[in-house]
Amino acid sequence: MQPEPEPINILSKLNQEQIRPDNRMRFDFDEFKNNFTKIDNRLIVPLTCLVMAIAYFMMMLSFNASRMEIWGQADNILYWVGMVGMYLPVLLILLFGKPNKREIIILIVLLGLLLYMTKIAYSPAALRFVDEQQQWRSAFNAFDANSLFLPNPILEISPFYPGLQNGVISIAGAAHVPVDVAGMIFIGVVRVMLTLALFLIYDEVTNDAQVAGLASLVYMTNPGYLVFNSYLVYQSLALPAIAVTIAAMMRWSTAPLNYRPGLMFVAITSILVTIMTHHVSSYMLILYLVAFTAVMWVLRNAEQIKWLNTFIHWIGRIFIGWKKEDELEITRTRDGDIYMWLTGLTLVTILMWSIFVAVLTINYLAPQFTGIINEFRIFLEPELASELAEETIIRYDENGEILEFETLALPLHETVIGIGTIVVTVFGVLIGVRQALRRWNLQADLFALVVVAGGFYFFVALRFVSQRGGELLSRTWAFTYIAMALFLTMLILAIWQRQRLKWLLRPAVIVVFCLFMGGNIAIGWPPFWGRLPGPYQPGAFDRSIDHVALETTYWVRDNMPRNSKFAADFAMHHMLGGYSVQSPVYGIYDLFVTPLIGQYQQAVADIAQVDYILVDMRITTGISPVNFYYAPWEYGVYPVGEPIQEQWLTKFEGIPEYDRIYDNGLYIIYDIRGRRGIYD
Amino acid sequence: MTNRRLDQILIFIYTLIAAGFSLTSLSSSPLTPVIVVPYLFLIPGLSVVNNLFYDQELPFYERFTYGMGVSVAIVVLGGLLLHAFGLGFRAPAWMLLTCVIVFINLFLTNIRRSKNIIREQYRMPNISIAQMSIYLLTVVIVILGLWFSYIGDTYQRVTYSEIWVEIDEDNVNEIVVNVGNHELQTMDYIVQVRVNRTPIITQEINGLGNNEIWETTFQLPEPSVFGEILRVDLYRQDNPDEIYREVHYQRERNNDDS
Repeated sequence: MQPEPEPINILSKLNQEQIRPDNRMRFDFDEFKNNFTKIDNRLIVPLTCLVMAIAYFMMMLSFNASRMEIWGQADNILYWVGMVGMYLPVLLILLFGKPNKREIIILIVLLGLLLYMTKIAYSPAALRFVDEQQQWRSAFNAFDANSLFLPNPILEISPFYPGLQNGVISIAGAAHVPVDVAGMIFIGVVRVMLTLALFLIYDEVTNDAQVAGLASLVYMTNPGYLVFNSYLVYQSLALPAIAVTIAAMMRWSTAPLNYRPGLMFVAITSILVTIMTHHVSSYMLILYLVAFTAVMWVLRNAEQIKWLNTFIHWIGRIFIGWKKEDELEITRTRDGDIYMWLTGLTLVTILMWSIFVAVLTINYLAPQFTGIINEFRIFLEPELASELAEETIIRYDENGEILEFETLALPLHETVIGIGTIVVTVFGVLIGVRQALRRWNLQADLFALVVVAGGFYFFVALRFVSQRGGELLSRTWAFTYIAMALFLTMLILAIWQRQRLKWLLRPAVIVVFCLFMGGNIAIGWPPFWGRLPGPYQPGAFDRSIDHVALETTYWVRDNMPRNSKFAADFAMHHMLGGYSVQSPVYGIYDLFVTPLIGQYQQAVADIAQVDYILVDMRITTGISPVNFYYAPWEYGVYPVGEPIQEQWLTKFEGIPEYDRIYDNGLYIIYDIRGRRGIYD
Repeated sequence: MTNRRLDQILIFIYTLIAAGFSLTSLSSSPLTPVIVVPYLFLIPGLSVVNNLFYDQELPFYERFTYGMGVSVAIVVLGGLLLHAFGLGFRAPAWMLLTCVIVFINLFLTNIRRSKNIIREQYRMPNISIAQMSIYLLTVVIVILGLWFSYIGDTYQRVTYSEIWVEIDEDNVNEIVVNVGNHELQTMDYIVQVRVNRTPIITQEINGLGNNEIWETTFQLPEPSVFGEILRVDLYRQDNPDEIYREVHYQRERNNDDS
């Protein structure tokens, strides 16, 4: 029989440590900690908040310096100082201080909000990112027509997942603000919900607010947290809904019986929100539910089924240090049937939603999965390559080798830190799992989180075997990281508590945390070339949308018939489909990356029924960091790494039937309807 | 007034205030989003959570989190209901949906609480003036930072002028020419209308201010040749030899689409 676990407050052990006489010449952390907490306990947290706000202001300075191009590389340095200035005070308070639960919640909610407002400050005047325009269009359509499920020309699947739209238009309607402002506010609201729900999850597992706060802080370092999951995209809502579901499910085991119906109500409503909001997120929710159900079943049957008992014993002996004669001690299991029912209900609802509402989902997602399968088939039978090339969107160079899509490489120091971060994550989670199991033994919730963290390794493996693996890994990272953050926290605490080389390890923990934060930002979105706002860049997503681009977008909205068919570059395609309320045709690079409009190009325009062409004349002034300007599949059509040639864009002038209807020197719009069908 | 009813009374009052700001002439006030957003994403869910966990034992931060979760669910799932019943997505529909939920749950919670002996849980947090001042300063700095970034984002750095023509498809002899000045200075332009290569109208635009639009209607002669090209060129008066901006179009076509 395992001994009763001791009280869990890990950090309380630090108070018992004695100062070693031979270490007096070195920086003493316990003394620092004591002085730190002597300032005035009641003012430490408010002062920390103030420091974070000043760091945020510094970041705003770096943003404006970058926009004005006045400080050279100094704006980058200021950005990182600001970023460290927001994260580090929270880490120090949680490691050295003695904040109470309320203060911990204040700190992590403030940090979550400040990080979200960093994204807002990047583009406070408008939504500029492509995915945001897609979601804006769905919300605008619904609000404008007072009806859901209206077609969205730039993301067909989006109207069939109206969760995000409903949240946004509720603010637009009830608070009387424009739809894009409503979107920014709504994501801020659900960011607070996510932070609180994560804290509840970690607090429930660890029963220690300080560790829960640390785990929440570590979660905020994940690559998608700062920007991608702050965008007005559907997983920015689905992720908090999943977190609330997990928090309510975990609370189930420790809650009084009369609370259980209420917790189940919270869990079910949040599950419905997830299903109505995002397809991939609802599949990740299934991963969580299946993990919980399976763990409950395994742990509850472990005492009856011999091989299971032996298996768990082996795990215990390897990870927890059990002895052979120890018996199983499983804590906080609960009625597995409820979880099975919940999982079943979720599966059936997802299926019903996909069949009766979001019928496009299968068509939308199938290419991703069949693409991975086809890549695997080609790996096994290379002769299938040409047969499957079109389906897998693989291009070949003149030597018959696969043309690897390449974007601008990270600077060396960011590459090193980024790879280091991934290595630390991959091995750190494993060590953290061991530490967590040693501390909390076979606690059911913890075991379920171990299973979910295992999902991360699956997606990492997929990253190396499939071209689509990188996209899948980055999309799912935010979900699996809920579990991983806890284990990375355990790793931090394990190092922090070591007595040997304490003088070296403790500062190392702080430095490594900062590098870890920086590494995750380096490998996350946006890449280094778009991390700070700034002047126009060709083929660079939101960095291609400056003031003039926005004004042109608004001009189209005010002067052109709605839902006209436009052809444009990638960035303006989404702005036209969004703010301009048009129906742009995606990916017709054939009209642009060619010196003439011949029969083929006209046929392409005719088949797509293009009415207007919007030409960005500045696109010729530089090289796209992602190596495409109109659509990813133009890659390799012209020499990679070369800019768009000016004569490719001025060629439209020579065609009498192409009316030039708008010109601001940077953007030109042609009405090409006069030439439609000329070759028929 | 006992502590156990305080939260219910506050929810009731806040609901009335939010409804007032959302549905009356106060809706144009800048305070409306400040009042209504917290209402939408906290109050309906909190009233449901208070009903579900009526004994007030659940810690406040947990109540708050579940309250937000349920509020978001009410808005998301309620949106489907509004769509199904054709109530639209304007303020009255959202306020009707949320107020009904709030009032029903307030009523049920009061019944359940009055039938049970419950502990008084809610206590105002003890915050000193010094703490409050520092928190306030924090908020001010953050808002200033955001405002500063907004100024930087909206500050116009690229200058340009624009021209476009509005064409009445039923009357090919009349066009409306628009010129926009975004050069960050007052500009003098010349507009010249040409048919094929022959100038037919020339007009000066003097003293067009920054961010101003100049608009005028030109009467054109009847088309002399089928499919002739009409050009409208914009010159800067300080460089009258070089076309600065231009638009052109074919006046008549035999294509129905055009």
